[in-house]
Amino acid sequence: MGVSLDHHVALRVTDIDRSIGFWTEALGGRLATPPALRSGGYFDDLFGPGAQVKICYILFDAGAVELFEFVEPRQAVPPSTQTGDGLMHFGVTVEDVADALRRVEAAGGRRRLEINHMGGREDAPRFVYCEDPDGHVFELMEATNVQTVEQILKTIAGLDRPD
Amino acid sequence: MEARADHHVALRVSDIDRSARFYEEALGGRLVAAPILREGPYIEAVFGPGVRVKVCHVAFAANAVELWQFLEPAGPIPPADQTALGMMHFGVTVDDVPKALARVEAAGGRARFPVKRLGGNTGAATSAQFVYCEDPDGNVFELIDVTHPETVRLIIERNPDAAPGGKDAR
Repeated sequence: MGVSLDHHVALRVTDIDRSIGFWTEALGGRLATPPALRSGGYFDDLFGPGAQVKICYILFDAGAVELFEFVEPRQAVPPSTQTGDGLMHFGVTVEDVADALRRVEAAGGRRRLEINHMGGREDAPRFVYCEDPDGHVFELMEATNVQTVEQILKTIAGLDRPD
Repeated sequence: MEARADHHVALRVSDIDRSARFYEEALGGRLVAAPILREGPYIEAVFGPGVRVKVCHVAFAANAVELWQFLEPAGPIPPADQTALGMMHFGVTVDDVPKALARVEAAGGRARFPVKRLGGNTGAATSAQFVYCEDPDGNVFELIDVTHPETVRLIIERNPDAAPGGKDAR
């Protein structure tokens, strides 16, 4: 087995039940482990002495999100600026970006920009940056990452041309 | 297909060449789209006016990292305090955690704590190992030697209350 980066993406949230509702309704995730309050032992090593945290896993067709609602310490989830963040966003492959965006918005998420075509080419797959109810950014794309790389290489080739 | 959350994880870095090398050497990723400078209306629509950014893609057996080095605006990468961040970390499945950690450290990363056994907190330790690591900018990823479904199976096996539809653990 090679190295697979699809184990999970961990998101800190303010209300784990609200976030479960969002990820299951918006993107069809499956609640694989319900929220459990965890503390003590190695959680003190992971998150600092005295940390108390509710954790759950939501699985998708591939990949997963791990949701963390810290009871202690309790801090606001910082707004995502993309250009000031470390972990900026994560990508989600869907069949139809417009349909998926409708579900995201119906479930309490929002778009950060309008739907665009990759590289600005009308025949290319579409994408859109969205936010979950805490402002975490994820990107909906109607292409796999292998197909997206093909699009990027086309875009790069275009950048080198004077036209 | 409903949704696959394994397209990519986007990381902001301070030196894209250093980071590309790190994800190749530490985790065996493959640079599938080399760093290029992007600017103009399309990038500004996504990130804001005046933004200039280098971006590249490093692919793995599953999923990819998309590395972004912003030239404008260029600010420090915030320290990854797990309890204060929004996006906390991402998980990486490897064959052998200590071996993978040795490669991570040789490539310029570090462990945030010694390797632990999944479930070791409950007195019902499994054979699965994990550790939280940092890349050269401090972005956090978790090395774990079981797949995600297997992780969930181990959690439920040791915490029957965590079975969906079981006793509400909230």
